[in-house]
Amino acid sequence: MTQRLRIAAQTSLRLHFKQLESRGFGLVKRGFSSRDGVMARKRDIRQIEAVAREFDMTPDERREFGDFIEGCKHSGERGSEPGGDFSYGELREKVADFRDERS
Amino acid sequence: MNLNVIDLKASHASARDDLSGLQAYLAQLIGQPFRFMRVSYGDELTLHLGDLRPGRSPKRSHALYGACIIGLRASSWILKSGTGALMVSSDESDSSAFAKTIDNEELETGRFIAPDSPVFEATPFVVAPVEAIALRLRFADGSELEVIPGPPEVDEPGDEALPEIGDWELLSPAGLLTAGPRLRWSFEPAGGSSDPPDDQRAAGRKRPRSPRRSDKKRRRR
Repeated sequence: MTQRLRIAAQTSLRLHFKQLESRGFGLVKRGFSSRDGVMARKRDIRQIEAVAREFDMTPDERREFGDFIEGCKHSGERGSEPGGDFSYGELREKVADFRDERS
Repeated sequence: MNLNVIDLKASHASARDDLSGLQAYLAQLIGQPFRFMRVSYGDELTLHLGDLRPGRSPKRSHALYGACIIGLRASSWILKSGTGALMVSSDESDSSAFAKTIDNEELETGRFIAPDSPVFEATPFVVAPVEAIALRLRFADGSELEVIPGPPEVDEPGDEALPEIGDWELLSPAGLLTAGPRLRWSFEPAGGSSDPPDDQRAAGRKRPRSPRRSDKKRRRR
């Protein structure tokens, strides 16, 4: 069922691209800096959401926490998950640093 | 003349297919100038609009944030730039053979939507094959962003305890508007509301517990 839905969505996107090409749009594809795949990306975001709920973050703080973690990756920190992503436990440990609570 | 007023101080959880209600909440975006794009963790694209302010957290006080932030979560998106370039993030599309690939840094340069270009249309619509709410944003420079949620995914082992997330969201001074998953949407005012969302009131549901809290309890036992 999910596979059928995915194919339907892809077909609809392809048709959309073809229409846009015919209207003279050039195509640029964004490269991914970490693991490819919607599933992996969604899992990363869900983990941030879970940590945010556990630590009672406001939506503003949750948004900034996600940026903070991305900044950590950007500055060379690597998590233990594929692609250098952080595990749930590693994300939890980052909260004190993010909130400047470490002595 | 009949005028519609949206109360942004009350929480709202919608019935399915209430797109006109969702569109009314999106009206707060109209006229907000585009400032920049940023890629957050999980390769989530965020668009920052409106007045800029520094981050509120100590570790993010050096960074700027728009008064309104649109987070595209894990949804696919297509950006039709006013310059004529078309950008896609869908890693499941077959466009790589004839497309130039760019990285996050280039994406964030801001060359795809003219800075300060205001939003003049924000329209939600249903993508029938996947039963999800998509979003179309149009900017005054001719740029257009379409956010297209994918089909619901089956959890991988170990992910069952993670909370569901929306397909896209709008964080504004008024509160948090979340679309999805599926055809649901909700609005939670900033600072919380004395009224619980309609669906939670009906179900008597409590806030989902994080997986780690469960782990702690198990360890104590």
